[in-house]
Amino acid sequence: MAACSTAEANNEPDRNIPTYEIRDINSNVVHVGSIARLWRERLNRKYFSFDERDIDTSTEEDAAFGEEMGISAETMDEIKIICSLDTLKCHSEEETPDLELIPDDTSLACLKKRKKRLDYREETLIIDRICRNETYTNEIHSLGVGKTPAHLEDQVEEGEIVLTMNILYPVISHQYKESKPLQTIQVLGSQKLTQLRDALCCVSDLQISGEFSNTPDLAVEHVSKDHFKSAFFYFEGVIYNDMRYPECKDLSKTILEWVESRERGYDRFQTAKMEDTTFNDLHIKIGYPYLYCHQGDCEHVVVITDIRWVTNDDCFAPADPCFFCDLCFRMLHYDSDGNKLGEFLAYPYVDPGIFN
Amino acid sequence: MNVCYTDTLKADCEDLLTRFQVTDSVRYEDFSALWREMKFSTIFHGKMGDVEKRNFSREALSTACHYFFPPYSFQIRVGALYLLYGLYNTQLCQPKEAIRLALKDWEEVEAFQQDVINAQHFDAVYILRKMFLTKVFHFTAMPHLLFYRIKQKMPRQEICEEFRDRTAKVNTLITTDALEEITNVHEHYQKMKCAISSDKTQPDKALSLIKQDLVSDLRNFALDFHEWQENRKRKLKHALKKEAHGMEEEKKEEEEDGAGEGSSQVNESSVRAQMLEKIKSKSYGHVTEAPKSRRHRQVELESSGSGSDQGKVEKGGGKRRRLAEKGKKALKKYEVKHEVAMETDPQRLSMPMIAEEDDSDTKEVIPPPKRRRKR
Repeated sequence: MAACSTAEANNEPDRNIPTYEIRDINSNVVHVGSIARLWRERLNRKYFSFDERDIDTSTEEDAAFGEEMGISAETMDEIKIICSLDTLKCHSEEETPDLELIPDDTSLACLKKRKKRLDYREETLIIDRICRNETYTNEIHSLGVGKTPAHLEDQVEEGEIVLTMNILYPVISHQYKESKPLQTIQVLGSQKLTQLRDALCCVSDLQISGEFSNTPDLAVEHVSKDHFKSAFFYFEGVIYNDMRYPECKDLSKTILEWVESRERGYDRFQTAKMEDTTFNDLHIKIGYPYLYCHQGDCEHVVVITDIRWVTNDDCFAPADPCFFCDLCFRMLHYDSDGNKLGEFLAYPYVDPGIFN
Repeated sequence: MNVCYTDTLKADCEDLLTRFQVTDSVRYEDFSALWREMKFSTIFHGKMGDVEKRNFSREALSTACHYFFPPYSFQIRVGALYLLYGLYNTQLCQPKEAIRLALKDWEEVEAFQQDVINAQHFDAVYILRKMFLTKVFHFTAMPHLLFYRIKQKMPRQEICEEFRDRTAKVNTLITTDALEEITNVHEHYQKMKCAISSDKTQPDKALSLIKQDLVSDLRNFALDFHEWQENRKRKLKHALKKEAHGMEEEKKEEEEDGAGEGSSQVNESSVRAQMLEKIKSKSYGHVTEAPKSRRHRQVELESSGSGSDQGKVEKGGGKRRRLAEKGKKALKKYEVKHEVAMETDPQRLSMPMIAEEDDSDTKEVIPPPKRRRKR
């Protein structure tokens, strides 16, 4: 029973398991990369595998279940019938109910409420406007589902983390200061912060500065994005600067000096490089606002709304391709005997820009 | 304006679960009969756009999921499992909206799975397993999407008292207050007996009709029961951990011990420790009401949460709330204190407000309303 005592010594909950810091608002600080590890430790491989081979056919799985539980084959058949999806059908085979119609004699409160609303809409010819952002998110969601990417390199790895975040855009007009437009973006844990930075399109990047009265045609070639390449993210006391180009400046210097100049009530901020940090490396609070700053003074609030583990049939592929080198590709998709694992198509890819 | 279905979803789910509770069964057959009787799958019907359909599915699954975790009774939790199965498979949006499972709730799910396996409820085991294998769940960090909506007060789902787990009721019955009351009555009874006896120091033998150690026996039974519960939980946790690490022999050994069923080994020292803790918490648990002049410095009782947040009782009707709070206090006294970070009430914050572009009406900056101090 020696093992028992060590297990009991581990009775304390893992500090990396997210909990509410403020109920329904945000979580405590968590390490993003640990979330994948924690789920992997807890789950049966069959529950998350992409590999079709790991998912037995339904009859095989049922037979295995029966054996494990010590149930006879007849009982197993009975259970299958009792629990089948047919039991959820509320109309007989002959009826094909109109899904848009709500019966008058319904007992469900939701239907009564919905009917009331639909009747009101019809009477008053009101259209309920859905938030634009939700419409776009839903479109992307529906288009991407169940599809495997055309190129092998774009395939998302098993056990990846996906973060959903809202990027809020600064308002231009004082009149509309309370409603900020926002963009919902999903990123993989393995992707670098710079990939998000490059994917964000803000109108301030497209501003053109300078005087072009003599050469008006040259104006469009000089957008701010090309001139002012510095940017940073701020997450939980660390400022991640984009230092990929020689022109990039450390925009956070001023802030760091300000924090250190006297007792401000904050701990010292640290700095790191955006191009060297992946989302898995971050320590963040879920649901808590952070900052993205570019063009010197264009600030966006960033809220990470969700972190979850990627499973099969997931609804998205990464916006940018994930390139696998030959070694990684072989390690992931073939076993030690060189047998192909799972169903996929592989196309060798040579970067056309390789000699540039 | 988007229609909010929180209250109606709650009503419909509780309607179905109440009918299921009445059957006193955990059979899926009985549940599905009720499902068909209520024509529950029609809950997704009605003319709705894609976004509305998806939002409704998400909310329906989230509402049903609430009943799948403690403090609800085993039967209700099985009912919630069946409800999730039904809702997931009858939703109309494509692709189907998944059921979110947060890391912090995983232990409860595992414990539940073990319970149904041990009790040999094959239909429940089969359904749960099928749901895992058909990738119904999304394994997430937190139960809901978090948008930092401080201004918008999200309606929190309240605990349905009728569905509460009955095993907690032993602790609500035998509380410190109840024992105190019984002790008082007992002593008073003794005094009465002495008063009418020939010898004033002790009652006549003819009057000894009850057990003298009634109160201490009652207290010991309650402590024994609690100890047994805790033992069982610990053994189950240990068994699950061992299984996860693939140590088959250890697991068999644990199961032979009977997972604590009937073999409550009351450790002398732990009982004493608990008694001491009870006495301490009794003295610290009582907060005297400050006089009117010192109301601004009223001492507030710190409430340390116990495990899952689901057990928190909402502000509700006076008597019900007091009883529920009393029960919770008693429960806490029997529990080993866990170190749980205290949660902050969102209403007490003064954080910057962020409004997002959506259909919400309020566009003004309103500071959070000052809460009245609670007693």
